[in-house]
Amino acid sequence: MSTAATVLATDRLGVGIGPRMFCDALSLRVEPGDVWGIVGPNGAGKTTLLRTLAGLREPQAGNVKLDGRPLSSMTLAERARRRAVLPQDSIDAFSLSALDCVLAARHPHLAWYAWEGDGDRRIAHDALAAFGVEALALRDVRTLSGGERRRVALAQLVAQDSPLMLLDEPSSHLDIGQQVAALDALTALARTARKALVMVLHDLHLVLRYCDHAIAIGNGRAECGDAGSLLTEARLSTLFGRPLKELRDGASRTFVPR
Amino acid sequence: MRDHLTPTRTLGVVALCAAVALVAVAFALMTGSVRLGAGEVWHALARQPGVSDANADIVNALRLPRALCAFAVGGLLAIAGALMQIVLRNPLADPYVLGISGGAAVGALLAILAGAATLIAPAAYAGALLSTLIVFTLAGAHEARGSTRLLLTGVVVAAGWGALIALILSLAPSAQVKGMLFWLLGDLSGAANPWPALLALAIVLVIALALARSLNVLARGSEHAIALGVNVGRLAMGAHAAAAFAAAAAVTQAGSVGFVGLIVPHALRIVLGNDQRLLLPASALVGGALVVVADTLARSLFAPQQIPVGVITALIGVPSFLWLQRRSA
Repeated sequence: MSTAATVLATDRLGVGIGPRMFCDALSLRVEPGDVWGIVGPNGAGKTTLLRTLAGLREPQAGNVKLDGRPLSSMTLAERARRRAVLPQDSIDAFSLSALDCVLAARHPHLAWYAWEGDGDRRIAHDALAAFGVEALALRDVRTLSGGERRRVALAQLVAQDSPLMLLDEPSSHLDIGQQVAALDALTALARTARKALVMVLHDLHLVLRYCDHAIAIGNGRAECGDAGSLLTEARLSTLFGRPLKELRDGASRTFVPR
Repeated sequence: MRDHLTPTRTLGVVALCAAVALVAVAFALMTGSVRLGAGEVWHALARQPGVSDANADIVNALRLPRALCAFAVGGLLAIAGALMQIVLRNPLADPYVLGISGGAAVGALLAILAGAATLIAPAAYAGALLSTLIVFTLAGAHEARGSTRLLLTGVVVAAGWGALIALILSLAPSAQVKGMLFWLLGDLSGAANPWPALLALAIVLVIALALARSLNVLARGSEHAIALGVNVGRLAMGAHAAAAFAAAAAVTQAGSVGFVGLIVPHALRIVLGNDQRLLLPASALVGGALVVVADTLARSLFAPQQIPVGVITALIGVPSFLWLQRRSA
C-alpha cells in the first residue's frame, strides 16, 4: 500500500432520484489521507451522492471506481473490504451489545465458516476506545443515549478497516466537545493510517476545520475543490438560499446568517 | 450484557440444550398408561432382556416414533420462527403470523372434508407452499427493504385463510368437525414415521448454520448488511425458503401447533442473546424438547382421553414467556 493509488474516483457522475437530478457531471479523485466534506442544503442530494459513491445505489450516469476498479464490477464483499459506510441513523429491533455491534464490521474480512478471532476482538476494542466508549462494550445498544450510539457506530465504521470511509453526518447527536473528539480521531486515521474520508457535514466550521477538499451540492449541480477556497460567502449564500457572513479568528473561519 | 460469543461457549450451550432434549425424550418414553422406569426404557431401546416384550413394543413402536416426531416438529417450528424473525427484523414474525400454517390448514381441512385421509399431508404441504408463494408475490419480497409490507401481507393473507377455515368448519358434517379441530389445534396422535420430519430438520439446520453469521449482520437492517458485503436479496430468499420448508414440514406432520415458533426463539434470545450461530441450533433443540414434553402431557394428563398438543404448548408457553419477558424488562 506504499504506492498511493487513487482510493475513489468518479467520472462525469450523474446522481438523482427518478427525474430529479442532484448533479450531472461530477468528476473527482480522492487520494489516501484526503479528508473531503460534502455540504449543501436539505434535500440537495448529499446522502444520495454518498450512497452512490458507496455503491449502495446505481448512478444515473458516469461511473465510480474504487482502487482503480469500477465499483459495478465488484462483488458486495469486495466493496465492503474497500469502503465503509456510516449511515445517518440506525434502528435496532433486537438487543445487541456494543461490542457485537462493532465486531459485525469484521464480517467482510472473514470466511463464511469463520468466527471472529482475538485479532478481530482487539480491533473492535481499540475502535471503541478511540471514541471513548470502551466502557460501554457490553451494554445493549438500545439502552445507550443517541450520542453514545453514534460513537459506537463510528467505532464500527473504523473496525471495518477499509481504505475509504464514507460518513453521513458523523457529528449528528454529538455535543460540541464530542464532535471535535470524534473528528480528531477520524482525521488522525487519515494522517497516520492514510485512510480517506468523505463526510456529509452540516456544520460549516467543522468542514473548514477538518476537510482539505469539499463538494458543494445544491440546485441540481455539484462543485468540488479545495475546501478553503470553495467555501465562500457568495457561493454558500446562493447554495443555502440565505445571506451568510464569514467570521474569522486567526486561522479559524465559520459562517453565520446575516 | 454477556460477552461476545466464542465457539467453545456455543458448543457448551448447544450440548446443554441437547441434554435437555434427551431428558425430554426420556420423559416421553417413560410416561403413559404403562409407567416404565429409566432402566426398562434403556433395555427396551437397546433390545436387551430386562423388560417384557409388550413393554419393549410400547417403547419402540409407539412412544419412540411419536417422541421423535414431536421433537422434529418442535425443532422445525422453532427454527422457522427464528429465521423469519431475523429476516423480517420483527420479533413477532412466525409461521402463523405469516399465513403459512393457515394455508396448510385449509389444504388439510379440504382433504378431511373430501374424506381423503391419505391426502391430508400432501394437501397441507401444498397449502403451506401456496400461501408462502402468495405472500411473496403480493409483497414483492425480493425487495428486502419491504419487510413491514411482507409482514402485513402475511397477516392479511392469514386472516383470509382464517375465514376459509371458518367456512369449511361451518359447512362440514358434524362427524368430521372434531377431527378438523384436532388438526387445527395440533395433533401428534397419528405420528408413526418420524424420519421425513427429522431429515427436514437436519437439512434446515445445516442451511441455517451456514447462513448464521450473515443473518447476524442482517439483523441490524438490510442497508447495513449490504454495506458490509452481504447479498441481502439472496440471503433473505434463502432463509425464507428454508423457513417456509421447515414450517410446511412441521405443519404437515402435526397440524397447527401454535406458539412454538414465536415463543421459543424469543425466550432463548432473552436468555442467550441474539447471535444466530447459537440461537438457531438452540431453538431447534429447545423447541423440540418443548413439543416432546407437551405431547407427552397431551396424551397422558387426561388419559385415555387425548388432548391436542397445541393446547399444551400454548398453556406452557404463554405463562413462561410472559414471566421471562417481565424478568428481562
